[in-house]
Amino acid sequence: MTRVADDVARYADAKIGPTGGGFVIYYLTDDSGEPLKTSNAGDQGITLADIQRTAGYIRLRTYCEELALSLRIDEHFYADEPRPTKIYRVVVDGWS
Amino acid sequence: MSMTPDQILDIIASHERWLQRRTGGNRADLSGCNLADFNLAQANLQSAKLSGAYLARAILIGADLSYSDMFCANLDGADLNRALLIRADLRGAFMRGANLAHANLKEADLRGGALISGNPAAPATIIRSNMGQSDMEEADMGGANLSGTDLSHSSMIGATLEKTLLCGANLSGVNLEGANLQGADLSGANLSSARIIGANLAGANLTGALIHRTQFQKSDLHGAVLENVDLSSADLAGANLSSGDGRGLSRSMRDILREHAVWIREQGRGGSRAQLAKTDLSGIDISDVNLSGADLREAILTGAVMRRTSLVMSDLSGAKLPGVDLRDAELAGVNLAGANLTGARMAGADLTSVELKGSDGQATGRLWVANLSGAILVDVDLTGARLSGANLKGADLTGAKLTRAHLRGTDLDGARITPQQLAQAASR
Repeated sequence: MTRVADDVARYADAKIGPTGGGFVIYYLTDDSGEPLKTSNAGDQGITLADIQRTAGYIRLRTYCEELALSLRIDEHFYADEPRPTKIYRVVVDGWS
Repeated sequence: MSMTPDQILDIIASHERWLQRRTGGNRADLSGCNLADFNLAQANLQSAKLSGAYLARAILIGADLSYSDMFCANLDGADLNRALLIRADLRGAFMRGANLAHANLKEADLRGGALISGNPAAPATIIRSNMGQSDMEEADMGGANLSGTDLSHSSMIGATLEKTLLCGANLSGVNLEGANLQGADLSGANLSSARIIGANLAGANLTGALIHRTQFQKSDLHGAVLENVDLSSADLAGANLSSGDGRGLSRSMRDILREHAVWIREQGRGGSRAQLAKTDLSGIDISDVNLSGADLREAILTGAVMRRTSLVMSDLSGAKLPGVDLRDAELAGVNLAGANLTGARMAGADLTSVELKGSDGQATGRLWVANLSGAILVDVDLTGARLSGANLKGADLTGAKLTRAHLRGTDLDGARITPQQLAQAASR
């Protein structure tokens, strides 16, 4: 989890990362290292709310809150074919 | 997730009820939805969730997307003409080739960010909001955060970018003609080949900006910060580079003068020649500065203070210098052909010739005379000035004071001068 603090320090700091970087994104990945897709997760009955309820996600959110950062998980358009698919992103931001 | 037009209309209707705090209303959540090519003109999607939505080529003319979450949304080729995007979250959004003419992006957030892969060893991917090749004519982006945004080759004619954050933005090839960039932060921005003609950059921060073949003609850079900026390839014709407080030199001018001093000291091997042709430097105080060899053709130096300034062999042809203070200035070999020096104070100025030297540093015997042919020297005070050998063909010296002036070998053919004036001179 400490990686989040390091990444934020790196990419929110104009002297190191992109000038005025406003967020850090992590994609959730599956066992093969590919982005976890709503189609695959949905097939197993997993929803966004389920992920938000996992102990790991709650721990990460608490950690971010301690650092005065915001954490959320959302879905990003991935493809319509062969079936509507999104991928999950964990977004860390909250600095001005 | 693809949506039908009817579903979209239902969501928008419910969203409008939510905005009006009516029962049965719900905030529109279209995050990650595929809305490509949809016609959402005039839709009220204020505060809607559109994070990661795919809105390529969508028609959003006049739509209200203020305060909406469009984080990392794709709006490539979308028509956002006259759309309201006030304080919208557009971080990491793609808007390549979009039409944002007359759109309102006041205080919108378009910062970039970082994408971290699952592999800790792999470097992060830097995400920049991309508005390249977009049409943003007359758009209002005042106070928006466009730091790091790619705006290359966009048309931003007449756009309002007052106090906009453009730190590290890519503005290469952009057209900002007539734009208002007053107080904007352009530090570290790439402005190469940008067309910034007749724009207002007063008080803008351009520290460390990349200026290469950038056109600043007739732009107001009054009080702009240009530290660590190389202006040598910029076109500053008619630009106003005066200082912000009306007293000292602007930082931009200090940089130009510093580079010019190096150019003189290293005999052209380092630094860069001051290229200030057509530049408006009215009222500037550059007393005791060495601007020898500078390009000041057609520069506007009305009321400038240039006491003891060295302008040896500088080109000031066609310059406007009414009321300038050039007392005791070194003007040997200067080109003031056709310049307007009406009412100038030039007492004690040196307007003699320069003896040219060969590459070996030895005198060649050839002289480079000061050229004041056709100059307007009406009411100029040339008391004690040295004009020996100078070319004053066709110059207008009406009312000029020539008391104790040195005129030995001066070419006055066709000059407007009276015998009484000549009688004042020390020598002929």
